[in-house]
Amino acid sequence: MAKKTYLIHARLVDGVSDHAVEDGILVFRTELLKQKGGKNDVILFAGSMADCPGYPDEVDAGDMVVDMTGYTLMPGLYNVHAHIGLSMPYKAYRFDEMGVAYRSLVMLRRACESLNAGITTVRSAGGPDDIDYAIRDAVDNEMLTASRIVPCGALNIAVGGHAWNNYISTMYNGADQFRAAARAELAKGAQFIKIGLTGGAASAHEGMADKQMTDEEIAAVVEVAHGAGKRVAAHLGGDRPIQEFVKLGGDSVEHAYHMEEETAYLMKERGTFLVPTLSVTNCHDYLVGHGSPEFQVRKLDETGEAHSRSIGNAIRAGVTICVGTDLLPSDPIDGTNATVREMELLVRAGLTPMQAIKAATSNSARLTDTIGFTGTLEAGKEGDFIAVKGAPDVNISDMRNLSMVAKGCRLIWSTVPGLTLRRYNTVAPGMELAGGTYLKW
Amino acid sequence: MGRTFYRNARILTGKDGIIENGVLVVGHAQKDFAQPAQGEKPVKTAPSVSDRIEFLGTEEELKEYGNPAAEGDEEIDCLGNTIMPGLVCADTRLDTLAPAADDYVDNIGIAMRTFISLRSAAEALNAGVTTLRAEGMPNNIDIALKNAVAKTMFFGPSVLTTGPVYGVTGGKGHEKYGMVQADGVDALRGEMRIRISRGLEGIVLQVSGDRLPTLGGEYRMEMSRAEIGALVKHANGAEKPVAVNASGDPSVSAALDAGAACIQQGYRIGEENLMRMAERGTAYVPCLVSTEGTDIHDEHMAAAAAAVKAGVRIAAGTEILPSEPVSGTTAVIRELELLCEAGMTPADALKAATVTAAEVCGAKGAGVLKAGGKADFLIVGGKPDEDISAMRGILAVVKDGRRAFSVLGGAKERAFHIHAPGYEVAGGTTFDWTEGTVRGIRAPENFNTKWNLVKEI
Repeated sequence: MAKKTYLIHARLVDGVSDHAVEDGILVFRTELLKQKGGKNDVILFAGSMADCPGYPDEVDAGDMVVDMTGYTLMPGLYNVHAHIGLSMPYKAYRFDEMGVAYRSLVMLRRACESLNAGITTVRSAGGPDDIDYAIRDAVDNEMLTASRIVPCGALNIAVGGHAWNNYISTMYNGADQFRAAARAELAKGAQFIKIGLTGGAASAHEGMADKQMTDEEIAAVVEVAHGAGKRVAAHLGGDRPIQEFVKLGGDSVEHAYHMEEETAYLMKERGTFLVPTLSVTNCHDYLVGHGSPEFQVRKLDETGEAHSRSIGNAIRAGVTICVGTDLLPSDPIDGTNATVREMELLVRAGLTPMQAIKAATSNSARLTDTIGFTGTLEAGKEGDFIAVKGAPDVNISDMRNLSMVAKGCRLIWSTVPGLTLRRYNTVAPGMELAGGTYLKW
Repeated sequence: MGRTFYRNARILTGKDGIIENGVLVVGHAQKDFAQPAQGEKPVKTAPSVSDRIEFLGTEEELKEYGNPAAEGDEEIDCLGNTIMPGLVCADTRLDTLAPAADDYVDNIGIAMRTFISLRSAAEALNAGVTTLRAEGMPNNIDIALKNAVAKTMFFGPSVLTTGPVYGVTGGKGHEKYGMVQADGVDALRGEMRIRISRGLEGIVLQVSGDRLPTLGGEYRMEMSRAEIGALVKHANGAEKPVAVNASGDPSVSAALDAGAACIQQGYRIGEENLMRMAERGTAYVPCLVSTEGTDIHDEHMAAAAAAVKAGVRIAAGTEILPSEPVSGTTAVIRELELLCEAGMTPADALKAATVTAAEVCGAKGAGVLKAGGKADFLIVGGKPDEDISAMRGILAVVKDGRRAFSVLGGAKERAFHIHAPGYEVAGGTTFDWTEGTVRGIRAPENFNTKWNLVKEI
C-alpha cells in the first residue's frame, strides 16, 4: 500500500538552488509492490510549504507527518573518491592479505557505514577483484542495503606506477593493454574509468607529479570510455600532466596537488570536474596514528600548502568541484567523518557553505551521471536525503549534526524528535555501525 | 550496558531440563569503537560482544541469587512462551543459488557469492538458526563469514567451516561450482591438507553417487575404500570431525569402517549399519527436507524412521538454505517436523536441532542454555517440546545476547536488518540474486600476477 510522508516546516536545501527554502516541505511516497523489483518510491514534492499543493488537504489517515522545525533537509551526500577497501597503513608490497571473500565483506561493511553516515552514494576510486561491482549489484538488485556504489573496477596504472604496491591497482603497459583494461571494465558495467596518471604518496620512489602514463595510453583510455559515453577520472598530481589530461579529453581531475591558475581556467573552459580530496593533505594525525610509512607522511605534509593554493586557483576559476576524500567516507577524523570534514576543508579553501553542499550533492551527481534520479531534492527523484540540525548552508559545521538518513525514500534512522527510529542495522544490536579504518578486521 | 530479564518463561535448557515459570538473565557487555570528540584522536579498536547468560532458574532461585533487576535493566515478559536454545543447523550450504541460476562454473565472482552467502546467513538467523555448519562452500567464503561474524563486522549466526566438499572426478555434486574433484589418495589428501591449514572445523566427503539400475538400484559408491579410509584418517588426525555424504550400504559401511563421525544424507541405510552407528555413537544428519518432493524421499524417510528406532544419534541439518520457504514454513523448521514424522518425539527433535547438532559439529557452548553460557536462544509461542508445530511461531531470536527481532506481545522490534525498511530478509532461493550481476568477463593481460608479493627493496 502506498503511503505518503510529509516532512514539514523544514529548512530545505535542494542541492540546485543558491538559497535555502526557509519553511520547506518534502513529500514522498513509499510503496513496495513486491520484494524484488517492485519499488515504487518517489519524491512527490520538495519546496516551500506555501507552494505545496497537497498539504494539508491530501493527507490521508495512513500518512505520516513530521515536524522538522530546526532541521535542514538536503540531498544525501556523495563521496566521489573513496577506496572502500582501504586498509591502513600502506604496505611496501602488493599482496592480498585478506582473500577476496573476506575483503568483500570488509568493503561491504564500509559501504554500510557510509550509508549510516548519510553518504548515500559512493564513487569507488579503484578497488580489486570486482568487489565494487558486486556491491553495486547486491544493492541495485535489492538483495541488501548499503550506499549506492558507482564502480570503476580497478585503478588502472602503468607498470610500477602510482600505488603499484597497493592491492587496489592493476598494472598495464602500452596503449593496447590499457584499451583492453578499459573495455573489460566497461563490460562489467563500469560507470567511469579510473587511471593513475601521475605519481603520488602511495609508493616510495615516485614524485607527486611524475607523469607515468604516455599520452598514447591516456588517449586510448579516453577513446574507449568516451566511445561508451563514460567518463575518465585520473589521479593527478602536477600542473603539466593535468593540462595534458584535460587537453586529451579527460573528464575528472582527482587530487590536483599542484595546479596553476592557467590550468584551472582551462578546466573551467572545458567543463572538467575537480575532486580535490583536501582530506589527503590534511590528515597528518590520521596517517601517523595508523603507523603510515615515513615517506607517505612527509610527502603529504610537504604538499599541503601547494594543494591548498592549487584548489584556491580552481575555486577562483570557477571549476566544478566535487567531494571526495580518499579516506573512507565514514572514517572518523577530527570529531566527524571524512566526508563532512572534506566539506569543511573546501569551505576553508574558499567555497561558500552552499557551494560545498552542491559539491557534495548535485555536482557529484553530475560527475557520476546519477543526476537523472538523485543528487537533488526534486519531485520525481528517488529520495536519497538527510536531515541535519541547524543551517549547514550558513554554517558548514552544522553538517556534523546529522539527524536523519533516508535512501530511496526509506528511512534508515532518525533522531528527529517527532520521529525516532532505526530501521537498518547490519551489526549486533547495540553496536555502532561506524569506525572505518580504526576497526581491526 | 545493563542486563535483560526474560521472565515468566518456560525454559528448555537443551538436554532434559525444563524450568517452568523461569527467568533468564542476559548480562550485556561489549567493546566498541567510540566516536571521539573534536580534537580527540580515535582509538584503534577490535570490537567484540561478550554477552552471557548471567542467571537461569526459577523466580525463587533468582531471589536467592540476589541481584534483582535494577534501573537500566530491561524486563521482558515471556508468559505463555517457551525459551529454548537457538537452533544449530548441522549442514547447510549458504551460497546455494536459485534453481534457475547457472552455477556449473563460478560466473558471478567470489565477491557476489560472498554477499549472497551473507544474505543467506542473515536469513538463517531470522529463521532461528544461531549456529550453522557451512558445507561445500568454495573460495574460503565460509571462513570469511565465520571471521566477519566472530569479529562483529556483521551480525549473523556463528559459522563453523568445512570448506568445499571433497569428491572424485565427475562425482555427485560436480554440477555445482565448488566441489573439489581429485582422484587417488595422495591427490585428495593434498587438497584436504592445504584447506585444513586455513582453519576448518570439519571435513565433508561425497562418497556416494546415484542409484543405478546396473547395480540393481543400489547407490553407487564413487570414492574408493582406500580414498575414504585415507581422508577420514587424515582428517581425524587433524581433529577435524568428518561428515560423509553416504547413501546405500556399500558407501555407509566404508565410511563407518574408516571411522567417520557422521553420516549425512543417508538416503538408504540398512539395519546392520544403523545398529553399528547406534553402537558407535556415529551421528546421522539426514537433511530430510532436502529430498522432500523427490522420488528418494520415501526411502529417505524410511531410513530415518529405522534410525530413530535403532537409537542412532540424529542431528538436524537442511543442506538447502535454512530459510528456504517450504510447506508454509522455513526449511529448518520443516526438518524438525519431518524428524517427528520419522518417529522422533518433539522434545527429541528439538535436541537434534540444538544440543546434538552442536555436539556433532563441535560447536562449543552452542545448543544448551546455562548460567555463564552463550546467550543464543529463541522465544517460541506455546510448547514446542510437546507440539513441534509451535516452532512455526518463533517470536524472538536472540544471538550473543542481542535480539535480532521480536514480535513478543505485539512488539514490532527489528533491531537487526541488513535491508531497507519494508524489505523482508527471507525467501531463500525464491529470488535469483544472480540476475543482472557481472558475469564472465575475463581479466585482460596485465602485470599484476607477476608482481604480486614482490617486496619493495
